[in-house]
This record gives sequence, structure tokens and C-alpha cells, in this order.
Amino acid sequence: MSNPSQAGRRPQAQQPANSAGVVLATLFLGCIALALASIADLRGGWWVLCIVLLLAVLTELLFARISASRTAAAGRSSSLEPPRSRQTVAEAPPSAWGSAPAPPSAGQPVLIPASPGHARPPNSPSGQPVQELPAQTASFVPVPSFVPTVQSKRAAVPQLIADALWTPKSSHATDEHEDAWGIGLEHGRAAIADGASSAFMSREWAAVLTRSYVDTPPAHDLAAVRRWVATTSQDWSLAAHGTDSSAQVDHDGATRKLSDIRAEIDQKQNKDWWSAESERRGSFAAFVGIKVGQDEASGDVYWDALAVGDSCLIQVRPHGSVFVLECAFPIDSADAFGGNPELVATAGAEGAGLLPVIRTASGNLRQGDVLLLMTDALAQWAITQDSLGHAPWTLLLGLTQPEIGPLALQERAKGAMVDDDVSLVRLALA
Amino acid sequence: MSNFDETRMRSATYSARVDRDRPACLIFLLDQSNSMRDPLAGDPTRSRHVALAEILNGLLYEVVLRCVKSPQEGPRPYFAVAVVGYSTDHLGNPIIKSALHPPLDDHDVVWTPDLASNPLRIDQRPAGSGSGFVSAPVWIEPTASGGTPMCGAFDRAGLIAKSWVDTYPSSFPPIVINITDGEATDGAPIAWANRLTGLQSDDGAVLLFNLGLSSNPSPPLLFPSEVPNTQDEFTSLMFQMSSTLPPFMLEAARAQGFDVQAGARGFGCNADLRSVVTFLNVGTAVGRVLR
Repeated sequence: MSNPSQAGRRPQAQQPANSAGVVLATLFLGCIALALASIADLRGGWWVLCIVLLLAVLTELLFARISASRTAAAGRSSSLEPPRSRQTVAEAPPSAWGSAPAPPSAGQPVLIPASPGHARPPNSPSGQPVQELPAQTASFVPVPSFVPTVQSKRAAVPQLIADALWTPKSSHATDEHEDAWGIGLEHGRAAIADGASSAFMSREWAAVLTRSYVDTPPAHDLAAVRRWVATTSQDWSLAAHGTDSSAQVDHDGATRKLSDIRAEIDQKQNKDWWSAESERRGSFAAFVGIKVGQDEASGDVYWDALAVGDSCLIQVRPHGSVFVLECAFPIDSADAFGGNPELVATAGAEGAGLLPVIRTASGNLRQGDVLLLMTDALAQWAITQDSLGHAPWTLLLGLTQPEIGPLALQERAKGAMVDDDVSLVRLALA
Repeated sequence: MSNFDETRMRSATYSARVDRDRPACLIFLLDQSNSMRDPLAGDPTRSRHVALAEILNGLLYEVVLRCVKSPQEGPRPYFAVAVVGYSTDHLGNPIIKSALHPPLDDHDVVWTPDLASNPLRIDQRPAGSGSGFVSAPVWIEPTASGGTPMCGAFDRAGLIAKSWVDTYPSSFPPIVINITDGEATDGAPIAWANRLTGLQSDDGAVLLFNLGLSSNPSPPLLFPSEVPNTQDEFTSLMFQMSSTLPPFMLEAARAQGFDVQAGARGFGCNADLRSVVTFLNVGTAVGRVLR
């Protein structure tokens, strides 16, 4: 993509140079005419010189008027172009997600450039490492049967930037955070999942789901998603059984092999009835995943989303100096958040059956737009704030990892936010 | 009611999440009178006290598993449970005591880790999937004799609930579930019930739910929002003594297929086996809310 600011400066920089050239050329021709006239008649030469100078001044004035009218005409035609052109020229650069069009500073969000592997919170601009989500580091084996269907129309992946923020429930340790997220910018994918608080190993199930979606997402139809859940459940089962010796999870900041964890489980199960019973009952999580692609012909950027439960995708768009809600999916009303959301169950979970329903949505993504993936507590809070006219988007776009915990504590204390794990993934065109 | 209490009542939301800092308290009051030996509605082969013991053992199993989060640790202390049996001896003296067995009967409430570690025994039952067996821990054995000192049971529940809301004022308020098949033999329970539901935490008033068992062939009635159309004063009284279901329990009831209305009470009568299970699932939905 060309740099619009350079394109905008070019006509103004060239205009004085061109008019000066015309004047010099006119003077040069005038001097030649004067020399010829001098040779023919010395007295008549001064008259010719005066006429040439007058012509030069008139030419300069005429050229300046034509240039001004061309510039005005160019301005009118650009206002008929898609908003993307206007936003990229007039609004803040995409890396500055707050309303002020200022260059990135230490207080602004940290963005992850497109790179292979799962996204992890990077170092902050000041060099201080951002806290990392422990559950994100396991490397499970991708499932070959779920290579995504490539659609040639949307085969291209635009350049994207993304990051993630999170904070656990109050009075809970960071390793008790039961949300998980995954970002795979090289494929234009991101996902967030909210492990059910009352379910067994729900943190691991959320992590497996998001990782699997980023690596090998299903087509967004019910049959394909059911197959994907069934296959992905095997990864959760591996996590529970530890039979994949290469698979690892972070726990208390240390990486441990699942097989080691399983050995502990087996040892405990000799005397504890509840471990086996819990595993048999399976696990549950709410989920939302997104794929971003680009139409090769038109260059338009699209997103396709898949959701089960109350984790949400929210799209915001710059409008003047603020961001406005463009779309909220699958829930767009604070009242619609309930205590019994649909959930993705591990295959074979007792009493769960097949995934009853999925929800899908699509939209386009413009330069300047931001896609926000949120778990339910933050989504409900944000949608409520927006409905009250408090416009939380600029706040959320400018938020940093050290700030999200205090924000959640403050809003929980006010009774404005449910005390639950909070996770936020932010994604935008580079 | 004082202004302070009125303010607290208005701010009742029944929205406190259940965790280690804000555990929940479940108090079960079991009628263990002699009439509980009669058959349960819809199943002449099963006596009420045997069916009820089985159902409660299953419920306690559920409550324990709600607290198991990771294979690396045991159940977390998210719940404290009291199971109070009430009956009378052969002289008519009330017997109101824990229906759990040693060492769990030493305390007013038992925390889930202790409950998990101290079942009477663990039975093995065929898995629902048809392959293998599942563990079925047993904490309560059926017993039935004498009369129905319901007022005394409410008194005991009030002592436990008062201590609880004083200790955990920001927690979800205690849930008291009374399961009986007859009228109180020790007084008018409505006064005790009102006193019990007058207790409250910052999150709301104590919830009292009542379930009536009978051999009546009439269909079960669960979660009505209006006084049942009956000549039976006892049924009307039980309805009046029952708390309105908080919104998330309404959702839980709807999720179980009941067309419940706003204002539905935690009350049921003519309960058969299935409706007892449903009633207890809805009435103990706190902490099972999957968020």
C-alpha cells in the first residue's frame, strides 16, 4: 500500500518549481528576441524586452490559476473515494488506537507483527516484559484433516497487527485464569475462549480450542465444526492423559510435560474418586474465532466469524476523533448475557451431546477499523457502556496490559463489571 | 425492617460468584418422619426416604465435582454443606441432627474437600454409556421414624445461616432446601420461615425452597408463580413459605424445560423422582452457572 501522506504532499511540492521554470523559459526566449532586435534596431529592442517581461508575468499568473483549479478538482474527487482513503490520510495511524493522532509511545498498545507461530504478548516499548498468559505455550500437534478450505477469492491474507490483554478474576492467581486466546496473523486468524468456571480442566480446553482454530480452523458450518470439536477434543484428552510426551503446558510459570502431569494424576487417582469422575464429565468453554482474508481482485478485506456462547467479536470504526461500534457478534445487547450460555463441550462429555448450534457472521474490514475479541464479562461491560453513551472504545483501544487489571477492579467495585476472567484480543489492518 | 436492612434488600442481586473468598452454603432439611417410608408418587416400588437418600447422594457428588478444577489438586472449598435430618423419638421428642455420618457430623457445615474425602463408601455403578463403571460415593443412608418437627429444623437452619452471613457477608446467601411429606408437628412453621428468610448477605436474603412429597396421583407441580388452586392448606402454606427464584435460577428452570414465569417460587408438590431431581438441580444452581 502506498504512503498516502507522500501522495498528498507531491502536488504542492511540484507546483512552485513548475511555475519558476515557465518564467525562466519565457525570460530566456525574451533575451534571444532582445538580442535579435538589438542587432536589427537598438531603440526598438527595449520595447521588445518590456513586452517579453509583461508576457512572463501574465503567463505566471495564468499558470498559478490553472494549478489552483486542478488542486481543487483533485480534492473533490478524493472525497468520493471509499472512506478508507480519507481515514488513512486524516485519522491516526493504525498503530495508534486511541483517538489522538500521535505516534506510538510507551502508553500505547503493543502490536504484534505478522509472524509464524502463536501470538504471545511481546515486550513493551519500554523494554519491560508484559505478563504472559501461561496456558498459551503448549504446542499440540495440528490435525491434518482440518486444513482450512482455501477459497481463491479470499486467498490473500492482508497485513495485520494484533495484541492481547488479560486479567484474572479477583482473588485468583494468574494461573487460574480460565480464558485463552490464539493469534495467527500469517493466516489471518484469531480466537478467544472462556473455559467454564465449574468445569474440569476448562483452562486447558480453552487453550486447545483457540490453538486448534488458529492452526487448523474448520469451515464455518455445523457439520464441519462438530468434526473439528471431536478432533480437537482428542488434544484435550491428550492433555488430560498426558500420552503425548511432546505436548507441554505452562503451570506456575514453568513448562512441564503433560506426561509428567498425568503421572501425578494416575498416582492421585488410586485414592481420589473425583479426578476420574471429573475427566469423564468433560469440559466446556465459550468460543469465538475469526478469519480475515482479502479479495485479490478488489483488494477488499473480509472477516468471517464463528461463535458458540457469549464470547464476543466487536468491530469498531473511527468516526472523526472517536471510535464507534460497527458490529457486535453474537451478542449485541447487555441484557442478552445470561448465566447459561451455549458452550463447546469436549467430545463425550457427560450429558453434553453434539454441539447444538453455532453462530456465524461476516463483514468487511477497513483501514482504521479494529476487531476486538472479548470474553463475556468485558463484552457485557463494553456493550453496556456503549449503550449508556459512555463510548468505551477509545479507552479499550488505548489500554495496556498493566492497566487492564486496575480497570477491571475499578469496574467490578462499582458493580459495572461481572467478576470474571477478562481477556481482550485487538486486531487491525497494518 | 430498618432503613439499613431495606437498603440491603433493595441492593440484593443474587449475583455473587462462588469462589474461595465467597463460598456458598447449601442447607438441606430432610424430613425423616415415619411417613417417609411410604412410596414416592409415580413409583409404588420405591419408598420416599430411600429415593431421597439416593438423590441427595447424587447431588452431593455433583457439588463436589463442581469444585474439581485440575488434576493437580483436590476439590476446592467453594461450598459448605449442611444436611439436617428431622424426626422424633418414640416419646415425641424432636431429633434434629446432621444426617451425615462421623466424622462429618461433628460440624454444622461440611466443606467440599472434607465431603469428598469422607464418604461412607464408594459404590461402583454401570456407566450411562454402557461401558465401564462409575464411582458413586454414598454419604447419606435412608432412615425414617416418628414425627415432623419442621419448626425445629428451621430453627437449626437459622442458626447455621446466621453464622454464615456474619462470616461471609459478601457471599451468595445461604440456600435452604426443605424436603418433607407432611405438616409440621411442632408448631406453625411460617413464622420460622419468615425469620429465616429475614437473614441476608450483601447479595440477597436467605433463599428457602420447599418440596412436598406425596403418593398423590396428581401430576407434579414445580415452580408456580401463583398459589396453587387447591383446598389443601398445607400446600398453600408451603407455597407462602417459599422464596421467589432469582433470575439465574429461572433460567436454569427454563433450561430444564419448565415454562416458568417471573415471580416463580422455589416450591414443588406431588413430586415424583424426576421432579425431585429437577427441583434440586435448579435450587442448587448457584456455582453451577458455567461462567
